[in-house]
Amino acid sequence: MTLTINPKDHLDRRSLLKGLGAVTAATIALPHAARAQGAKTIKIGVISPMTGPLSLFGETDEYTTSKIMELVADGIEVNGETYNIEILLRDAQSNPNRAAELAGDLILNDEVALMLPASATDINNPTADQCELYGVPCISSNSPWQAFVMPRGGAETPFNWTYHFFWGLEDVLGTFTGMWKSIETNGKVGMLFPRNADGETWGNEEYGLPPAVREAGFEAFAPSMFEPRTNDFSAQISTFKQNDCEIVGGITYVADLKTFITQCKQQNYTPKVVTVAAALLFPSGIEAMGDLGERMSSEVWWTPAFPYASSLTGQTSQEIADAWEEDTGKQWTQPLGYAHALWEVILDTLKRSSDPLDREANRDALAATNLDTLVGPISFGDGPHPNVCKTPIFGGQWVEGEKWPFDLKIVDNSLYPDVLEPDAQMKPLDWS
Amino acid sequence: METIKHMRVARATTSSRIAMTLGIVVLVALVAMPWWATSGNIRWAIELCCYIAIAQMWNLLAGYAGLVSVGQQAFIGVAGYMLFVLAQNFGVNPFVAVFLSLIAPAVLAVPTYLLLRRLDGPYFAIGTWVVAEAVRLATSNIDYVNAGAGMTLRVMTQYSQHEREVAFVILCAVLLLATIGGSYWLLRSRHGLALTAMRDNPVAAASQGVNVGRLRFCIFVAAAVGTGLAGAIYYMAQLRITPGAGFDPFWASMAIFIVMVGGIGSIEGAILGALIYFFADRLFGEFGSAYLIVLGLLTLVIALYARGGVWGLMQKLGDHPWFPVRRKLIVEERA
Repeated sequence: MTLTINPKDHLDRRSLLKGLGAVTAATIALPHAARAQGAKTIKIGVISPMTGPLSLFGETDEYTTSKIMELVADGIEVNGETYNIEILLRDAQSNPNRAAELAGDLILNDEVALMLPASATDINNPTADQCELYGVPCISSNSPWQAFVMPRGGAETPFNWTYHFFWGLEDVLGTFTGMWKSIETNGKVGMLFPRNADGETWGNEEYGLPPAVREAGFEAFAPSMFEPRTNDFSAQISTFKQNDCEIVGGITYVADLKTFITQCKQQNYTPKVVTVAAALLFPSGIEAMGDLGERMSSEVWWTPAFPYASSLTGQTSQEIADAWEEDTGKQWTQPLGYAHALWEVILDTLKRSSDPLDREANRDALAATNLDTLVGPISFGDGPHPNVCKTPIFGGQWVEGEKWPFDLKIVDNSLYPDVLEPDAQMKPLDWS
Repeated sequence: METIKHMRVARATTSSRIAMTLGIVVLVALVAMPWWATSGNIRWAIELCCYIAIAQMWNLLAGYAGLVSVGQQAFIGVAGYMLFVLAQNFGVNPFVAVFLSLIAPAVLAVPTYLLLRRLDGPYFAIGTWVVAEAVRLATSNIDYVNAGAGMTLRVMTQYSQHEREVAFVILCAVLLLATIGGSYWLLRSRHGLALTAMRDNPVAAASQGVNVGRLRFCIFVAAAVGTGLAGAIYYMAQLRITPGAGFDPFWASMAIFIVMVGGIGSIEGAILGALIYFFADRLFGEFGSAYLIVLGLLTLVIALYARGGVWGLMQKLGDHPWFPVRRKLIVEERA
């Protein structure tokens, strides 16, 4: 979608060369008439995993970016002056090397004024590291704040240029234990973590899930981490069976969870509760599980039931989700809310910036953000880390749906009881 | 009347003299980049130099020593990690650490070769892949290097952008000199003759007194160190390394693509291939997976119909080597 190279179907040499010129300066093409003539242009770099294993995140980025393009087609007004907005959307192919290359390219060759690495640790961190080195304000989301801060060595020294809003592991733990307490079990939890950036953060014995689960009064059993895309979970399953774990919790991706659940069933291991992050975020993930997917539970950070509205368009969460379902014909997904909220923060930052073409001015404006967005209020400084703002999180369970095969119902609001009420009561898994 | 026969050995050609002059101009221009080019161009130059070096080393292995490796990413990753550990955990100046980090690929290459030397052809290739995967798995289990979460090179912020750029272009010039210059020097030397003989037929070469085993060992270690240098420089520019990124098998596919398309068994081929890959990547990378399929098809077509690659096709138009390794006997008759 970044390219409108060539309206003709066939390529002759001249149009190919013209096309090449267009690609090197690949931007989202705007009708020229719509742009304010002679106005200065603010460039914003967006790096998103549009293809590859993280493409479910990239899907909402691409959609939201095109919506925002329509919104700012006439430019935005800052300090009485109109600026054009140019969004440079790049596909990182779910590859951290590529994300770093693209970030360097956008910063140095395209000279973007602001950077938006959209989605997931593998894209956020390499991009944010480049931004930190070259001094470009950067706002990201969609990964727990520990995964943004700790692997980048930000625990002792805060970052100067990179900001992040999302929940943290302590919050996901709160919702996980909240859900587990609402159901009758023996309190023994089997932990499932992959050997990658996310798994290491979640499974960390100092600040991760296992110590916190124990603190909440559960017994935690953490066998060795599994290699992503493995086809053998027998080591984990036998530990869980031996210790009679009635709860399985952790983080996995869709393919791994599917393998794990299938093998549980084969080996007659039937926990009452399976609550995992990441894999159960997307409806396609739960649909891949088939009937076994019903009543699995996960963290919820945005649903159409959220009571907030967009500061850009005034749409409610429900309206944003409806627009997505109508435009794409697919069920809403959680990153949709965050993709929108990131743009709320970016455009708000630019509007408050003393000079939206200047990276330092934009950074100062970004740091001073105080905005009510679609995913909750965003402001930096009160959070657990100077570069981080925490947003609400709930516990949810997938149940048989009405319009779509599965619906995500909120079953726990123990961390943010004021924001919304649970839709339903948590139910144990049915293995029959 | 008596004819005096005067004989001499010609090694340089007109085309090689032009290429050598241009090569020196390019190197000088590269080192001078911080004073004439934009930061973005410098960054591109760094990446291009790393691609050229990695491909050149793979070419040396596969094209001359007959060692088809699909595990060169092991050396990229260990050198990158060693750099991060030295610079970030031990506080060594990162630009010095680049060279110290070459110890890691060298140390890894020795047991790897000794382990795999008896394997032949495809078995050797798979063996190298297994080693690379094993190193990746091991790295993602070592807590000291943040295991699967990877490391960030935060120390780079203590240098100004100009200082970093000057250091980077010098490192890149050293990288090109070491990999291209080193290969060229090797191929022109006595060992080069042995290597060329080995490329054509290792058994025949051995029968002529070439110590094939020892030569292969030396080439394997040298290629590991050269690849490691490129990896260390690449990750110093990228600032972040994770096991998945550093030991990505994509590195091997990239080297194979570059050398196959450019022309295997020639120094020029690897350079041409790297340029083709680099610009194709910048221009068409936006198309994501479709572009990768096209690259794959291109490799396939070249493997089937033009085994000499782009350089082979250029050679058909006329013999103008940039880096001639042949010796030509010229007999001049004088009255």
